[in-house]
Amino acid sequence: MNTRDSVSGQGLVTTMSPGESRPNAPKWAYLLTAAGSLVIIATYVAVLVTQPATLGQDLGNTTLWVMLGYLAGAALIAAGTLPLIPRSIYALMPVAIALNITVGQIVGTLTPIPLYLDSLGSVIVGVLAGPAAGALTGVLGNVIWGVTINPTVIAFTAGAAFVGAAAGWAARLGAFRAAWWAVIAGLIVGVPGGALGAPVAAFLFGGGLGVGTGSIVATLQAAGLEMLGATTAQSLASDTADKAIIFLIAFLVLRALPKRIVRRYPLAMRSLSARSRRGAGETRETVSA
Amino acid sequence: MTAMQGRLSEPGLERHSRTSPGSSAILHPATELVLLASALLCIYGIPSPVVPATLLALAVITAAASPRIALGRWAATFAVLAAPMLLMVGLIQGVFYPGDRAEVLWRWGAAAVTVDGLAVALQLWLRVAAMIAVCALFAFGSDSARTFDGMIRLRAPLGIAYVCATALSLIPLLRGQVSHALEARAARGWNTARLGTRLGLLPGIIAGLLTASLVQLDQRHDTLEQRGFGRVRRPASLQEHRDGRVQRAIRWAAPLASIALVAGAVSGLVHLPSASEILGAIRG
Repeated sequence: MNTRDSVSGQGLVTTMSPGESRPNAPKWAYLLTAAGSLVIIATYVAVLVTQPATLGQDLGNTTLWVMLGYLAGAALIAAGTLPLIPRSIYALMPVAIALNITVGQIVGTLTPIPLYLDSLGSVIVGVLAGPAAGALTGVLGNVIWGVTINPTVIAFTAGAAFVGAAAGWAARLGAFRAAWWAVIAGLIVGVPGGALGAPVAAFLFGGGLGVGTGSIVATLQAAGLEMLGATTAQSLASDTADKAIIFLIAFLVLRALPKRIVRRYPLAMRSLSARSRRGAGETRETVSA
Repeated sequence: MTAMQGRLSEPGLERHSRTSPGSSAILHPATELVLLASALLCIYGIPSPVVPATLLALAVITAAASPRIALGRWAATFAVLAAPMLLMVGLIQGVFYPGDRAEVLWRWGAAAVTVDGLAVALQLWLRVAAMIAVCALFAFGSDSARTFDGMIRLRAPLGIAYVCATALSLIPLLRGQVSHALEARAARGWNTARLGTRLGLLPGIIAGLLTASLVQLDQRHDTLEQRGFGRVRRPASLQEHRDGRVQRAIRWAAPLASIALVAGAVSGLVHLPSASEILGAIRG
């Protein structure tokens, strides 16, 4: 953003195309992002293949590999997405991060609901500004939340990056044009999101992070499931419901936002119905005039 | 939600009414960040309960000795975050541990207290407790300006440093605005004590928050642009910080030493007592 683009207190006058036109993005940015994704997937597969489903008396190095693999992958994704994001989007990200932390801390760790609601800000940024901005918001949000209030979330950074990016991809496909499509997209995103979080929940925290989620893990282990199996089942159930609710809330927030804000983000126009887009277009013409 | 918010501690977040924590800090914020990362690497990289137990004890001593950290608030934060984890991991792994060959101490139906389960639960909790303790130390002695200066000193990209520092300053503001929005709706007759009502009100509240925050941020952004933010790669520090050769040496030595320790532990060159060895020694 520069001073010509804005009228103080009124936001940007000109629009930009976050996530859509990236004329100056270097190739290494894409390579780093792809490398980060590969590292996370490889870590997940390696943990499934090589590590026992239940930790023994001596914890071994499983936690180290899970932490290193996921955090290194998230760091590569953050480094790769940084050049893909217009500087103007940086103004949106702190709000989204604060939103993730405020809602996530209240719902995820201090209430007995087996949900998290800690990626609402990342999803909104993904929908408004694209997958790269969504992923970076997820990474930074978890790191900031981790070092200031709740360090346990640092290990879930890879999953947070995926959810932010997936919201951007879903928005590009038009999943936020109707409430039920948003819910379905959330359900789909919740499956890999839950799978990615399961090894972390199992091997770093023994499934005992939240009161609600921990109760489900305890029940499943009592029913005979192994540690990783119990946390995977819990994560899949919680994450699919959680992401469906978050995507629905993001859909509602998008419609509740003033058109002046929404029309700054061309990608967000794809998430509005044809009628809403016409409305936003008319507003833009009125403003231009 | 308001009551829950009241329980949330505010380490590391903006404190407008108090003197900046940087004014009495011994360490540069960059040194603190490096030490924090090194401690986290040791906690998760060395598979011995001795490491998290030692770091937990060091954190308690530092919190008690530091003039910047109120021990009571630090202890309350630690208790709020670590106690539920101890309870849950103790229940899940201590009572419902799924290992086949675990030594059973007491059984009642599906519940069984096992030695392995208790060992796993205690070690996992020790690690998380140590992590919470050292992160709380950093958070209580920090604010958004210190974080910004620390990140810039560590050569983090300016945009990332700006986003992190701004997010830190926004969290208490956002929490205050959520409280005000809920109070306003309660005054209009909504039963905001009900979770279902709160979830229903969430989209409207968040849309209002986003709009207000974006306008505020635009104004901040305008001000920063007009002051030349981003024109130089390494801007001057926002606050004065003590720094010197010793701290620069610590910033290099701490990560190198922790990496060497972890590599030694993984390869078997460095041996610290494992949980089974400690249990064996206790049993004689």
